[in-house]
Order: sequence, then structure tokens, then C-alpha cells
Amino acid sequence: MSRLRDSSLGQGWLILLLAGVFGALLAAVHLKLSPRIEDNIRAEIMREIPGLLLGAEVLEGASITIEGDLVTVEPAAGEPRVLTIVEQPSEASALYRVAEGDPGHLLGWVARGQDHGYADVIELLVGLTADTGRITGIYVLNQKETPALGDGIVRSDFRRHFVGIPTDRPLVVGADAAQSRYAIQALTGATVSSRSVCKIVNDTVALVKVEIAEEPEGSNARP
Amino acid sequence: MPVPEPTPLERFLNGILPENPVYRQLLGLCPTLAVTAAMKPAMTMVGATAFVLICANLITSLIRHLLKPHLRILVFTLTIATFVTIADRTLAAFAYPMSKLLGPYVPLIIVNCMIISRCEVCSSKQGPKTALADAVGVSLGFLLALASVATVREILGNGSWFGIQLVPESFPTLILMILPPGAFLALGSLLGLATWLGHRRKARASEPPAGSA
Repeated sequence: MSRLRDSSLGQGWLILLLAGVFGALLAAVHLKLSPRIEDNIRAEIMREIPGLLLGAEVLEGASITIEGDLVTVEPAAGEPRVLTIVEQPSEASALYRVAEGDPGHLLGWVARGQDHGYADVIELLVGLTADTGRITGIYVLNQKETPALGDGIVRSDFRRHFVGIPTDRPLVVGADAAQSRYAIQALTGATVSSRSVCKIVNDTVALVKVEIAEEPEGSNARP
Repeated sequence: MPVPEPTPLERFLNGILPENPVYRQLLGLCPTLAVTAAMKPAMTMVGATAFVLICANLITSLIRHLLKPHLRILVFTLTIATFVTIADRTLAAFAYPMSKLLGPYVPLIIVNCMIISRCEVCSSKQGPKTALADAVGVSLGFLLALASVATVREILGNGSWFGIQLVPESFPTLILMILPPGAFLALGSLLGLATWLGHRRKARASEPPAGSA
């Protein structure tokens, strides 16, 4: 009897029991809340895609309306712009085909990619031109990097470095950012987070380029 | 002769001012500095922390006779982490923009010493009624602390309170107060004020009554 009491099971039964009960509780919470959380994330993606492809300045003072796959951007000045955003089957977390006005007029692509950062998973949206030849912008969908250091990846001055870079070569993090257009200046004190972002962008771009190249000819113009 | 354990009412009252987690114990300083640039995120953090503290205190109190001394911290951490995850997911589902704004600070409630200290000091030794009173009192104390820091920072830095503009837009504001250094300035000043008030009250209490020679 005393041997059982002194064994690992005898010592840790309460922890095992609590782990089981709490695990079941968390599973129930996840089942109940995850559809709602996914809806919130989808709405955020739909809101951010216009900024990635049209430019952040278009969204300044603009109102955005989301109705299914249609996103209407009404700028403070100028005509409203209607985007059709359709999710494509992809090996990336998600790939969105974005057309403007007439659904046949392809504006570009936005892919969702993720990988490990310094603290936890970083999730990005990467915008690409219609021919996937250039990056149009990135948006940080989810991150838990070190506050005041790694979380600088969400700042627009860091994300702006990626806009307009050709996709024919992988991006690198380096001090020679001023010399090379493929080099991204790392955030001070957050080299790991900066490298992770570059890796996610490189992996996502490579995957999307292959997938789009493999599509039947003319499919990019289909409605 | 053993010292009698505090009653539920004493636990409740102690948590608010005499043992205020921020101003008297200097615990929970990470959220106090990080999310007090405005009242809305500060109050959301208080709500999430109070939920975790109340649940953790109640569970720990209910199983206190089963706790083995060398495994108790593991049980506390497991319990706290579970309820922090529930709070985090609930915010992501029902208050998504606020969840994004608070970022890693909600998961970081797990390492808030204020919660584990209440499990250690109170709920692992006393019954559920006392544990509940203690959790509510400490939560109110935490609310008082975060509300005071956030009020100073939002009014001085933004001219607003809970997002409601209090001074005209043209009125100059101290932007520094809603930036990270402003958190240290506000907390340091309020901490100094609280300590000074505490010393003054003690000094007055120790003065001999007038007329007694």
C-alpha cells in the first residue's frame, strides 16, 4: 500500500485527473467558440485584402462593406471600388483570388502563410500582383512576439519594406538592406522575428507561384 | 497559540487597499504598465484577470485537502493556465478587436504572480467562501490600480476617458503619457502618492490624542 502511495501514480494522480478534466473543458470551449473565432478572422482578412492590393493610402478614411465574397471600398474621395474575393484550393493555409469590378479582371492574389516566430506562431497575409511577379504588401494576422521588440513586425514602417519587391529571388534579412532590394532591415533586438517573417513570405510566395503556374491556361481570367 | 485565519470579510477588505496587489505588494506590474494607455483595454484585462483569479481560487480551495506540498505549484499553474486559455478564446470570439489589441498580454496572465500568490496564501489553506471573498477583493484592488493608472494616462495623453473626449481636440495633450515611458511615470507617481498617504495615515494614528500629557 505504501509502495503505491509513494509511486509516481500515487503522487501525481490529482494532476493526471485535473489534466484530464481541464483538457475536456478546453476541448468543449474550443468546439463551441472556434467557428465564431474563424468568422472573426475571415472578416479581418476580407477587410485587410483591399489595403494589400490597392495600397494602404486607398483605405485612409474609407468605409469598407463586406457582403459574402464582395468587398466594397468607398474612399473618402473618388469612386467606390468593388472587389470579388474568392478562396482558392491551396496547400498554403489559404489563397485568395482578388478581382475588381468585373470578376474576370484579376487584381492580384493574397495568400495566408504561417511559421514559428520567436515566441509563437506568426501568421501573415502576403499580397502578390496578378502575375505573382511582385509583392504588394504583407499584413500580420496573428503574432505573440516579445512586446516592444518582436511585435514591431506589425508596424507599417517594417511592413512597408516588402512592398514592390520582385519575387524572382528569396528575401534575406541583412544589414545591406540599402544596397540590395531583396534584403530586409531586421528590427533592432528582434532578428529572429524579422527572419521568421521573411521565411514565411519566401515559403508562401514559392508555394503560390507553383500553384498558380500549374493552373490550366486561362483559368486566371475565369469569372 | 496559533494565529486565527482571516475571515472572508477581512480577506475581501484586505485585497482592496491594505494588501492592494499593485500599490502594496507590487504584483501584476506587467499588465499595469502594458495595457493602461486607455481605460477600455485596462478594464478588459481586469475582467479577464478577475475571471481567472476567481476560478483558480475556488478550484484550489475545493481540492486543498488533496494537494501534496511538493506538487502544489504544478496544480496552481495547471488550473490558472486552463482558465487563462478560456478567457483568451472567449475574448477572441466575442471581443475580437480587443483580443488583437491586448495581444500576448492575455496569455501572460498565466505568469501573473498576483494570482498564484492568492492560491498559495489563501485558497490552498482556507474554504471556498473565504477564497471567493479573497479573489473578489483582490480583483477590486487590481481594478482600482489599473483604473487609476489608465485614467491618468488616457486623460493626460489623449484628453479622453473610456474613449469619450473630455477636452477639446485642439487642447494640447502629453503624448508621452500613452507611450511606454508614460506608464512608468504614471505608476511611479501614483505609487509614491499611495505610499505617502499610507505613511501619513500611520503617523496620524500613532500620534497621542490631544490633551493627553
